[in-house]
Amino acid sequence: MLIRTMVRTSSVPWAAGPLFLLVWYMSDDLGRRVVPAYWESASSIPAYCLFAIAPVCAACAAWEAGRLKRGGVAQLGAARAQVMVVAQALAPVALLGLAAVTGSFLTVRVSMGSALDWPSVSVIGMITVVLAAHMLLGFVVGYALPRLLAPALILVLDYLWMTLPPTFDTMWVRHLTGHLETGLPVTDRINPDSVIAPAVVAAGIAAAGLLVALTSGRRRMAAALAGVLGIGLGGLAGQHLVADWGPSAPALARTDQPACAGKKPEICVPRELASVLPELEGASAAVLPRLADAGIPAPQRLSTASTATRVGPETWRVYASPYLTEDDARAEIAEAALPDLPDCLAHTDAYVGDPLPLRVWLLLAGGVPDDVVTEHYGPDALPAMAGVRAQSEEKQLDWFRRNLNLLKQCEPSPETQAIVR
Amino acid sequence: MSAESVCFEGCSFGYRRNRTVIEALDFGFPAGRSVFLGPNGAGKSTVLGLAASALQPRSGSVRLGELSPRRGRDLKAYRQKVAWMPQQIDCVPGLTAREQVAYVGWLKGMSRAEAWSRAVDALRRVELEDHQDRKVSELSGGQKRRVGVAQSLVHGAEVLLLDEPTAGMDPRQRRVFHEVLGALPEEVSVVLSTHDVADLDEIYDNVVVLNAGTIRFSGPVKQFLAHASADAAPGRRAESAYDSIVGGVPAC
Amino acid sequence: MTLWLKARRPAVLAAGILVFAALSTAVGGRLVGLPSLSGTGTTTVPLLLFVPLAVCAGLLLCLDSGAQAAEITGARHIATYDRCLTALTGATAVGSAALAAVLRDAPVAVAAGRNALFLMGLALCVRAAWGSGVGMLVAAGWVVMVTLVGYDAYRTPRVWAVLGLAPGDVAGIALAGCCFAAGLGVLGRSTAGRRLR
Repeated sequence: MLIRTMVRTSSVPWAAGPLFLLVWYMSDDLGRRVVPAYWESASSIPAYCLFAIAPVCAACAAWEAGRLKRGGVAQLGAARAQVMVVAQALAPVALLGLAAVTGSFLTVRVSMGSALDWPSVSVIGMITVVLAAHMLLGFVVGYALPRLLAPALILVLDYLWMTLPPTFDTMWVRHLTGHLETGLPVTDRINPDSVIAPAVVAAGIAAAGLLVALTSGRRRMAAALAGVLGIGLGGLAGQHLVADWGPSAPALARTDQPACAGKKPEICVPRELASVLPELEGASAAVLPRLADAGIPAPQRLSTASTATRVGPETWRVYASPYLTEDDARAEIAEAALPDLPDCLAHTDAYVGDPLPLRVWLLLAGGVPDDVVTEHYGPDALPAMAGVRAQSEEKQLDWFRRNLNLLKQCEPSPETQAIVR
Repeated sequence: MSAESVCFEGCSFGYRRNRTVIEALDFGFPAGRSVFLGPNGAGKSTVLGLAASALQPRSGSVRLGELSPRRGRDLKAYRQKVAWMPQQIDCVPGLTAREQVAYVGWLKGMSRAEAWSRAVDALRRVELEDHQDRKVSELSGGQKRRVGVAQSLVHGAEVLLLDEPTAGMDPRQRRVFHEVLGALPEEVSVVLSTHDVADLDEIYDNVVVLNAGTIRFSGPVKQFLAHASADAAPGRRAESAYDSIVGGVPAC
Repeated sequence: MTLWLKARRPAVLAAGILVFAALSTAVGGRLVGLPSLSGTGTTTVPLLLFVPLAVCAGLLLCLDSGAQAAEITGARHIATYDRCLTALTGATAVGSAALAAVLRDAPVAVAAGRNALFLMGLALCVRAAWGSGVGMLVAAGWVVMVTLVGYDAYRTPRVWAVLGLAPGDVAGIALAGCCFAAGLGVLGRSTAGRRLR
């Protein structure tokens, strides 16, 4: 049958409009918030949209199965292989899914404004397997249940499967659906297991669906049992990969070469942020000497490194974004003097001090204008530091080091009172 | 007995707004046993559906004597007098043959007790009494059609509208069916749509031919057979007559 | 009438009501965060929003069961019986939801009964034109649509969405009642051609 005829006679034309509109809206909105040109982060957006695409494809597949059942196609004694009959029925649905995902990628690309490389192949692969699984599951449900019930039931259950797991207390479940989180930092890459785990689960479901769809009669029961086993194995394998994960996938640092400039300190940022290197160089030339005067020696290196990377004592971790102004750059360089602190709140509910006053002191010592400090930390920031800033430079340095030690040991530190923003 | 059973007065009908199946039909089915012929897609099932009040005409009206289903007060009486067996027999899930026939009898206004006993009788007439306690969904295609015939007999209608009742029946069952028709009281009119034109003159009184929504012929069987070509074989005269009428020669 | 009831497969309807009642009781007032298109990206909705679909499905399956050709040419007012059955189903759904609210001490569960009326009415109206399959899909799609766009940026339910409104909201009750009444009104219309009644 011509593909045009297949599409025209299927349920797909009815579903396409609302689905494309929804996917476009979400992709455009989310695409404006990713770091421009960083495809690794942007690739998670079409995967995020799976919460809409997968259930719609599953419902359409269920509808198509109902059409085949109503037409008695199984009793027609087809000379073609059953897999071809199923493939022809699902071809329009597959096209719908492909078009929705492609539309999402294109929309994201336009919203991002620029791109340095290509969308993540692993994410595309995962999306493909997950969509195939949902389609086949929808098809099987459509064959098994009355036509009135099947599409609506699979639409709702699929939608809940894709969206509810992040609300569960059992964290690993959310990492099995394929509905990836957005907002991957530009310093990180996608954790492979966050793509492999849902793909493995989906492959188990797809295999089960295919087995059941291609068998008939008494063998169907055996195929269903084998399918359940396949789903179980896929689920176990996927769960094993993400069993000890928290609400988000563990961060993984990028391994590609960053863009660097300057010497002593050398400043390195991800390639996508190379445009802000001049701002950072200018800011470091302005801020680092003042911090040295205040007793904080300059580092060998300033790096926008992933939180998954431990940085040495001669490297300061600096935050950068594509929209960095000169004032923002100075503030970030000054704050970078504060080393990584332990996650004290992970182990206690007691008051463990607050690093904010130390950050404010670093900004002031680095020569960042008062209005920038107020903009970053609120109107209470300057008055709260007035007493410390009134002391001699030696005493201020002493105050800084003493409180830094307390914070590193998660000791309650009455000197580092929280500054209300 | 009236000369006509169900009459159409200026009836038009279409399933879609821009496609008319029946246009301004002015016609009455003759009383007695009438066979309703026509090519596939001519509108026979539509005409029977209109006559059964399953479909509502876009314009015009349908009448049985003084009763018109369009008038609210006549609807119940009209439907009690008319029985309809559609092309597709519904299998009500979970109902046995007897229950389904009794259900139709009850729908036609019979009391439950009467519908129950008349259902047994109707199934006996179509030789399904041995299967009355089997679920309709478990019956063969031909048996289902016999259930459909029983449904149309159960409430003693004055007019039976049967859409391809013998499709799927074996030759013996067709004979039984024709015997059932023959045993019906004289006052009962039957309109039967079929493609089986064998033994027309032995079974039916009249022939009605529909083509493209228009009545091409309506009259006694003898008049119909007179349209056959002179060289038609004796057993093929009905076919020849049908061909010549449907081929474009208008009814008189 | 017992044959009509048997033809309607009351067990299917009962199953739908039971599933509705059980889920209402099990879910209670549990809130979940679902994706939303309104500003914040997610919205918190009661999981109960989805539960009325069970009774909706049971009702449609029940109404679709029967001898359609015989019923539309029958002398009895089958549409009236169906309306009574539907009204009884609506009342049972409302009662089950109220009971669930008491058992779980979750007043929001009362809204499930009102939502069941709304969704049944919506499904019946669509069914009259395009059949039960589309009717059920529209009802399910409406629930999903409410989670996506039925709440504003401050997580306040929009009036037109009905499902997210508070249990005692007058507009919500009125809209649900009107929708259910409309569904009852069009009950008996067949998608297979037109019929007199």
